Amino acid sequence: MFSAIILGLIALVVILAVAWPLVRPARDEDRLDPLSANQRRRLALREERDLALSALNEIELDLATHHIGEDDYAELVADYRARAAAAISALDAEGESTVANGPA
Amino acid sequence: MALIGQGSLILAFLLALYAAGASVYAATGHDRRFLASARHALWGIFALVMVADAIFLYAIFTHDFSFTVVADNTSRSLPLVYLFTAWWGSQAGSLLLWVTILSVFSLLALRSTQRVLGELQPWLIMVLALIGAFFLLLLVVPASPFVTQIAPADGRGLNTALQNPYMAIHPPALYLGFVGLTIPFALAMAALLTGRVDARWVVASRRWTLAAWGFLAIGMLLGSKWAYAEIGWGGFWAWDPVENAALMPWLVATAFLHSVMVQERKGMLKVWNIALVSGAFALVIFGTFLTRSGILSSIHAFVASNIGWYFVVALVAIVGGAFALTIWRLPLLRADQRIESLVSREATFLFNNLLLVGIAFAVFWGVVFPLLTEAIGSVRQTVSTPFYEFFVIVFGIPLLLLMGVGPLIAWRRASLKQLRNSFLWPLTLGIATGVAMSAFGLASSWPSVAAGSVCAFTTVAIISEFVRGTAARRRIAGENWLISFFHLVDRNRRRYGGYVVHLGVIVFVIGAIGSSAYETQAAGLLQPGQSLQVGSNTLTFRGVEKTRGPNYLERAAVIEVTSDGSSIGTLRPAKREYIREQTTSNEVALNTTLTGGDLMIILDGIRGDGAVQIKAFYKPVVSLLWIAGFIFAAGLLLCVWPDKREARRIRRRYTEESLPGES
Repeated sequence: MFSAIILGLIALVVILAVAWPLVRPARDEDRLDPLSANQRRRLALREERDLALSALNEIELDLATHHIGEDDYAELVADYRARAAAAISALDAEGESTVANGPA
Repeated sequence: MALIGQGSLILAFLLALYAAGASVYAATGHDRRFLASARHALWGIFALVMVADAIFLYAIFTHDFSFTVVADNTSRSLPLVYLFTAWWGSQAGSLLLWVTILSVFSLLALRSTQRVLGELQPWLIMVLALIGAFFLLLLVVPASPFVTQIAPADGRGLNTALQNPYMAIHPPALYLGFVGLTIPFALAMAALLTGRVDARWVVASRRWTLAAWGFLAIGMLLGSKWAYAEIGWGGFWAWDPVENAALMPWLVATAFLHSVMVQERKGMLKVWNIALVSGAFALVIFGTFLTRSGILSSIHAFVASNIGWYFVVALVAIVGGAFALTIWRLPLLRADQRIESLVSREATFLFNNLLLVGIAFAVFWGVVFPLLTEAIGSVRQTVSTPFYEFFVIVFGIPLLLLMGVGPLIAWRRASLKQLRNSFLWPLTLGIATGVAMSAFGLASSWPSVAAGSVCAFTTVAIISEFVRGTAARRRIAGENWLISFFHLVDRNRRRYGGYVVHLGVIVFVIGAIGSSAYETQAAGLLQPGQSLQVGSNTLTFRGVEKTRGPNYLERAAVIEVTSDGSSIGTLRPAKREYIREQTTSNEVALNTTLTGGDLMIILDGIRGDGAVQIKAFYKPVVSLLWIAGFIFAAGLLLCVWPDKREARRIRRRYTEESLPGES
């Protein structure tokens, strides 16, 4: 009997905790919207920007450790700089701050 | 008490089902309140599982033999530490530990991925809750730890194999690895379910996969140490199906850890990565099925045990679900780029993946082949060690080579001039090592020479990477060598942590080859005063010593060891007779030399006339196996240690958008 009462109390506490978000007064921020098309595009641009900056960082290390030559370095850097610049320009055009958040 | 425990598990099971349903409604009905409720349900599951754990452990420590599991797996004379390990000594107890870890990991996964995941989070909760519900169902129906009986006066005691300090850490470490692989799988499924297969699930799963993989490796190494020191057959890995059950997901997870870098940098191998994550988790469930269904003792035992069918259904659901979702989302999983050159780091990762998956498949085949032959022909045909060793040599040596080649080749492509510069020293020293091994009589077989050469090549390649990187940083930043080295590693933790892990693997391989290819052994029946020669060691038997432990009687052979005339000490290989358990175990005697070799003595039997049958091995460099574990762990820590700069980057990338799903 004692065990049943304890179990009942545990169940009650757990059920109240789980139900609380559903029974509390509703709030404006309760709506869970998926990302809009604009948000999704910005997300993709930020991923592209970070990927390009990260690649530039690695290319610098590859050159410094003599894993790539000057010719390959110049070609690869030009490519990734262009990609990073395009992503940053697109984000800037949407009014987003793009302060250096690439790899350190 | 049992009622509270069982009731808590039933409630937790119902909550898991609720959490799955509520999170789906939160996503499809766009209602954040249901997401919060589902999160609270996960907290509720955690609390209820803690209640069940507390009751179960209380029953164990108070010797409450009215709990069947406690009576079957403990006794009053069991030492305190082994009362704790008795938690996972039974089917029900180990599943309870599994669910405990899963409930903790689920909450940690939600917290650690909250900022990154956004709209994926409800689906992550759904997958985690369904997996939790499956394991809770096992605890509620076929394997309840709270089945009661009329209490006997004493329990049957714990499986004596588990009465070893390594067994206090080995199973929990493996469980942390097995359960940890749930999280990357759940993240991948969440990405497929939402169709948001961008980099988010990869970023969120990175540390989880690394940690789970690390725990699996450490768990396997501890298991090897236990087998080496306790079983008494002279080795550390027997290709036992239970060992293979941990090795298979580890190999696949290793492949994932490499190929995911290609996806992060090049946007390639997306389908492959989802297949690897799903495969690793499916192999976890398959391994659990193997070890719990009774199928290993006989396919007929599986039919008799109904828990196996639960795992079969789960396995079909996991493999079928992952496959169907991948096919559904195939158009979204196309590669952004292609491999530019076969001489590039991404290409070496691809080859490395093929080799790792090849070994995993060979091990899988070795495990299922005996089961298939028994199912088809009723006679089980076993697969022996040479089968596994063949594939480990054929796939493993090229894999070791790639560990050295990869760091020397740049991403995207490499020119001939750079390759010549990078490969010169590693290749020279690799070849020199092979020649030296042959010249000094260390070439016990061609694989050992090949492995020795490749180990030297890869070691030099990795060390040269540290040297080149440090020199470059020193040149650019004008720092001294030490500061340059520290900054180089600190700013590129994943890369250099990975190299340290690779060095650990090399040390392990040298230890494994050295200890088996160059071991010496001897066996003999010795009367008191008689000697046996093992390498340069002389073992002289002096007599049998009897002692009594807390729950066993021990008979040890007292053996004096001398080497080239000087005394090494006295070793006491023994046999323990456990009283309650009514079983006997071997206690191997070990003496580790300064050069890292082990003199190992095993007592095979004691005759009535006082003579003993002993077996002795000298295993050179075997200590490298365990030293490798520490190097591996150091590299792993370097990889997973929180990186503030990276965390800041990720936070900026994903939180500026105020992603839905954040609280």
